[in-house]
Amino acid sequence: MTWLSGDRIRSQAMQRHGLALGVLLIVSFLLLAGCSSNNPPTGDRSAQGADSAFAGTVKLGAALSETGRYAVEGQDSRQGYDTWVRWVNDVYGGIRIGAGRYRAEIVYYDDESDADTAGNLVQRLIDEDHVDFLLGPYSSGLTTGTSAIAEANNVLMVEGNGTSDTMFERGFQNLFLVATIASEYTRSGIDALAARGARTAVIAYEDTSFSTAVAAGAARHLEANGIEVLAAETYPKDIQDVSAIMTKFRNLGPDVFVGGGHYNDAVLFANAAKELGFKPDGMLITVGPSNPKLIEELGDDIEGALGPTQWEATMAYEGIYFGTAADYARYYESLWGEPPVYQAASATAAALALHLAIEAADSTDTDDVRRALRDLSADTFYGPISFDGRGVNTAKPMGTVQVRDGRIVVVAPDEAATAGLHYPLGDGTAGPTGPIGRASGLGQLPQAIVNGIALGGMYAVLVLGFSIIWGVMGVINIAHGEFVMVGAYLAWLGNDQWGIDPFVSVPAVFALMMALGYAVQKGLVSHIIGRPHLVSLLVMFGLAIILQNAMKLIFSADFRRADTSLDGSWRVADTLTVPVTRFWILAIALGLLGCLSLLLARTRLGKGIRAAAQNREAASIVGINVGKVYLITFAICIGITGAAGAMVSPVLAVQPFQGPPLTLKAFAITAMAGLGSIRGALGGAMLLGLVEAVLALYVEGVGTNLAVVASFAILVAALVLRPQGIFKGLRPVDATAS
Amino acid sequence: MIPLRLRRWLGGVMIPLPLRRWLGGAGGRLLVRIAGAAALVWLIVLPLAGGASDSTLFTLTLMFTSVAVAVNWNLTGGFTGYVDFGHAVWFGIGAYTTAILMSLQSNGLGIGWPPIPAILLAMAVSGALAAVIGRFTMHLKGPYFSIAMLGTFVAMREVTRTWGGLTGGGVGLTLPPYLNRQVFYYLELLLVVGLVGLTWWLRRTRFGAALVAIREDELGAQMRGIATTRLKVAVFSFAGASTGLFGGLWAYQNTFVDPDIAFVETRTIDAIMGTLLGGLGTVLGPVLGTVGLHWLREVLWTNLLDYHLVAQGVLLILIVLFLPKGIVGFFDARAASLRELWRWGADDSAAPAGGPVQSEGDSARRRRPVEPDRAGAAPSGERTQRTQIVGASSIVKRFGGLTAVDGVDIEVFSGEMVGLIGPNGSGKTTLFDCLSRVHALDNGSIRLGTADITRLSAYQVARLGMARTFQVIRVYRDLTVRENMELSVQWGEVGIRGLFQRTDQATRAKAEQLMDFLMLDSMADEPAGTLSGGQRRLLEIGMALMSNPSLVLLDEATSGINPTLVEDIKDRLVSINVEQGVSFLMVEHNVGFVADLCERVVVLDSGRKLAEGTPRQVMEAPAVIEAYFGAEGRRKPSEDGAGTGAGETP
Repeated sequence: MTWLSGDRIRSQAMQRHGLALGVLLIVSFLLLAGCSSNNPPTGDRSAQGADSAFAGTVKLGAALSETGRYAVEGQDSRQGYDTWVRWVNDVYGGIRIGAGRYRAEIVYYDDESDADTAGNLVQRLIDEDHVDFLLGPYSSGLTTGTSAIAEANNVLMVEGNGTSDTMFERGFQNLFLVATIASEYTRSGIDALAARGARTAVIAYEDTSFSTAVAAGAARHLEANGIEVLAAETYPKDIQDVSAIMTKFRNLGPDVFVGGGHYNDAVLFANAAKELGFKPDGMLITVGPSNPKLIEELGDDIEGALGPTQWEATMAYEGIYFGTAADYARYYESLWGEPPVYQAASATAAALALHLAIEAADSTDTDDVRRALRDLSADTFYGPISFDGRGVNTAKPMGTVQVRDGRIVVVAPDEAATAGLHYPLGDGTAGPTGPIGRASGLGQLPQAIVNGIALGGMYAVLVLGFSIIWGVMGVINIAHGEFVMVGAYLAWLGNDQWGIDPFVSVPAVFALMMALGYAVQKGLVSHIIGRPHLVSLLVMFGLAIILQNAMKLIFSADFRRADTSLDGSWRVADTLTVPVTRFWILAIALGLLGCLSLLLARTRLGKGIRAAAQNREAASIVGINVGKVYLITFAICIGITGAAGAMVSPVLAVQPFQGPPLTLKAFAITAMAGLGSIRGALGGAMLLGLVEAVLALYVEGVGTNLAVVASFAILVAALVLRPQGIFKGLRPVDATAS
Repeated sequence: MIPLRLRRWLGGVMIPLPLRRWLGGAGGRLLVRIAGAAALVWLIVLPLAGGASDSTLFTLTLMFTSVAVAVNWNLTGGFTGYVDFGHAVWFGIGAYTTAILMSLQSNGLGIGWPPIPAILLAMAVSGALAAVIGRFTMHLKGPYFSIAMLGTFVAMREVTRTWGGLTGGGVGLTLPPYLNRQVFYYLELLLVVGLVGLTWWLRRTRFGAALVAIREDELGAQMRGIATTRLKVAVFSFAGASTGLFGGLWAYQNTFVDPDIAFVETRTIDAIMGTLLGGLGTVLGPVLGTVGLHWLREVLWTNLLDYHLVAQGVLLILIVLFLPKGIVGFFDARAASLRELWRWGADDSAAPAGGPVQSEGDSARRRRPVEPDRAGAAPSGERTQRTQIVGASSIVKRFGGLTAVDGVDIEVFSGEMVGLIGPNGSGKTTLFDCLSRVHALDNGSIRLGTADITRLSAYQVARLGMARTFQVIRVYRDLTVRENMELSVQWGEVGIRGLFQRTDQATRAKAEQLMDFLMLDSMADEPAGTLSGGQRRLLEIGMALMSNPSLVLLDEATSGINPTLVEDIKDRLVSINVEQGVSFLMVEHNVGFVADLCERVVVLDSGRKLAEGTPRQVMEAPAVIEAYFGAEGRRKPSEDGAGTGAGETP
């Protein structure tokens, strides 16, 4: 076994060389990245091309997300604001105040989608940039905090993208919303569905300010229309899999599904509905169906879905400025090369409302403009604008669109509709996988167990690489979830570009990820083996940050999904179905576990790995090249981890930040199961899967939230009660401090 | 290559060594004082002079918050060595408690308390919860503690989200806005300065020293009488309360909380990164590091735009690999090094058992030769008053199927020196561990003096006057020899007030005297990790003696030690025994050493007592010979036992 013996001195020298190389690579990557950056610098001022004909400047300010969670929507909002600036200065000729024309200017800062930063920046806009007025950031969360600062400093803030109801219960004088408020989002859609005979509904919504308000409004409108709400379930933000909720819903067999969340949640709903064969007669999803990008991503799976929209270019609105909605869309597209989404139109409308109020007041004085905003009643390309006492535009109804043959058509309200509502979906009868008999109590247990085992199989294959790396090398790979994510992206890329089924691409992903693992081990991990755990934790954590953000820069933060032909579900009994994709994942997981067990037990390599795990020093003394064993172990484990990512890419949403929760689950399972124990990984994964599935299926309303807590509760309990681990692994777990 | 050059630079090529020394000593202190005072004056005067807009004050206030969280994190992560990956949970709980109490909204309690009692209660709630949770999670070590806290953090966030009736769920709560930036600015400035002052003071008290002892060697600290659990939970709870206070202030300023902005992982990450950059386990490290990090972020932010998060990851790796002691540690050798921390984690087995052999120079340096009159007679032989110091009966200890100690009775009388010998694996060290209460007994009882210690903890036993040394040497390696000594006082006499005082004059004098006696005085201000193996044995003995013990358990005090030094140790032990009446129970493989010192020897084999008597009696007992050499053994055990060189056949 020549490869196992080797010259340690030489390998150390090579390691040092490798480290230098690794750092050099990273630095040069960064330099390259910095040079090729084509974004405009942050904090710049738009529309600098000032014309000397202007009598002065009206200065506006906005904190918008250019990075972070809301980067996409933030960019749309910024383009919306800039559309107005360009129009007002270049086309309209400046804001009319008194006899003069005033140039409009907006100062932007990047709030990084972070509340603290946004608050800080708005304060800076007021104090240092001395803006006359503020425009809103993107999202209710950021608007809530920043509007309080605007209120305290008596600066007006007009906004179109923070619609949560609670914001307007505070009695603020300086906050105005041109868009329809969250609780009204679903009204026109539900009215139309009720008119077509819908009788029952279920609601699932993200547990955040905006979605909760939407869902509360939906529940009210459903009740008002005599539609029975069979179930309402919440789920936490950043969830990756809503199949437990969808299973529950499918068993209830409702006419209508109402889903509240943001763009990415629509991907989750469509994924789970497809996987489980849940096909209600109508699907109303808060954000998503109005966005062409979603249709591109999901294709047929989103066909027929309804979605509320603040605005569509096809709506029959017209105003004195910008002309009709279609005129606005043309102008917008001429500037930015893409059609406007409603977030952009809302932003333009917010700026326009402020513009109208300034001209009506004939002043930039806050009190005058506030009065003018209160009295404002105007028709615009965006629809009618008129604020009530809270500062909410109640004149504009919410529209509803439907995805028809891959196009977005407005179906409600009647005055804005361009086509009739298509309901019920399909041929109108329950399809082969239609509603399944309502099961309750113990009747649901078989389904919960099947779901749990399927989930457990997925966890097992996801956790394996983490467990073995820890067990053999003593390195806690905090970047584990990121390797899953990279593997998932590779499979998605193959699927998206060449239509390769993710299950087919597993071997290729395995090979590519092995190469990546090899490089990471050479360049980074070999330098931290044998160092204190904190060192390896922090270094791998740094690697995780790098991988997350690099993938975000390449693929954006949008949720993606790979398509597999192994989808749908097998119907075993009236109340029992088996999800096909997960079944295959489980089968492959068991196969992989078996192969690995054999590898460890029967081969020389396996013996070397086990020896190195037990005692590094002793193994190297008896002639095993431990460095090489580590290199091979790490490469194989990263290969498996990436392959696992490829396998789950049709089931879990593929996105740059899917890693950390998976890493935590891997840690929970490994710590309770035994380091490097293959049987333990399977047992622990099954246990966690079953607990989560039972909780999600049995607990009303917040079951999915509790399932998220469960893994951490199990982790902490397992560590505290049984610090030596449950199964026997490659090296003993010993978690006690003294 | 860049990294090599960087390393050279960090290694001090760019800054001449004398300058570094000066900066690390008096000069550094002077500079820090001048810079600190100047910064403080600037921070106080800035708003009064009208030189700062509200947004500048707001930015600075947020920075104070980050600094405070880092300082609090450093209390557990840096001083105590418990690296908390979920520290931001206390920030979230402080923020939420404040919001729940102050909010008038219908989706919370809607009781609308005034801010001051609300924030104070928030601080108390965070502290109390930290005490409860710490009680459980601080039983875990290393990465397990880290991840358990991360789990606690995520679980708390989800509980907050799910418990809508109290917290407003995912919608969150709004607070009545009060946005006088100056008030918050001065309040937080005062609190941060107070907090840093407090850690500075704490580090100098016995409490702070004990925390460092926990980080260095928790088991050792326990067996030297430090109530480790109580102290570490106390400091964890204090850090939780303090972070909760800043969380409450933050919620009030932000006027709005929801689970995702109150419980943010990046607060923990920033605290860790700031502390690492500044210097783990130092007083000023978290402050300098957090300010430095803010500055670095500004640079990254404006120059790398979208890539700044990637750059931040690279930065973290570079700090960990190339600047393990941080900014402060670069100048101060005593800062805890990241590499040193958690050495019981990854490379426990690599801890040096014997260390390098004592150099010849050591014995030449000895100043107080003790008369080498050790001919035959045991020193305690003439003593008439024989009260029992320790009495253990039918001790049983099992590990799974293996019975390591199987019904052993052992007693030691005052002023006596007793040897405990036996082949490898006969249960000697396990018996020691039972006596000093490292292990729980499966059967039997132990009395120490008049007290029943069967169910006491290790630290309580130490406080009752039983000190010990260890087979694998346990000293606090990053602390100086002097600090090691001063930390090993009789903790039973320290009391609460003593915990918060600096080491008293009497203790210092005693440490000085003992170091002199044990020939360690020339090394007094060196870190214990730099001592040779033999010196560390002496240090351990000194540490044991610092606590005024009535009985010292010596576990292989001579293994791996140069023969001349063994003679020195022997002399020292005898004079301690004679002059101070301290009893010894020693595990030894060096039978000659035992024969010289002890009047009574107990032989263990396979966990049972095989023989007991004078050294000569014992060594001639057939059972003993058989145990050592098998049934046909003809040689005497001493020939084998003298393996380390200094033994003589009796």
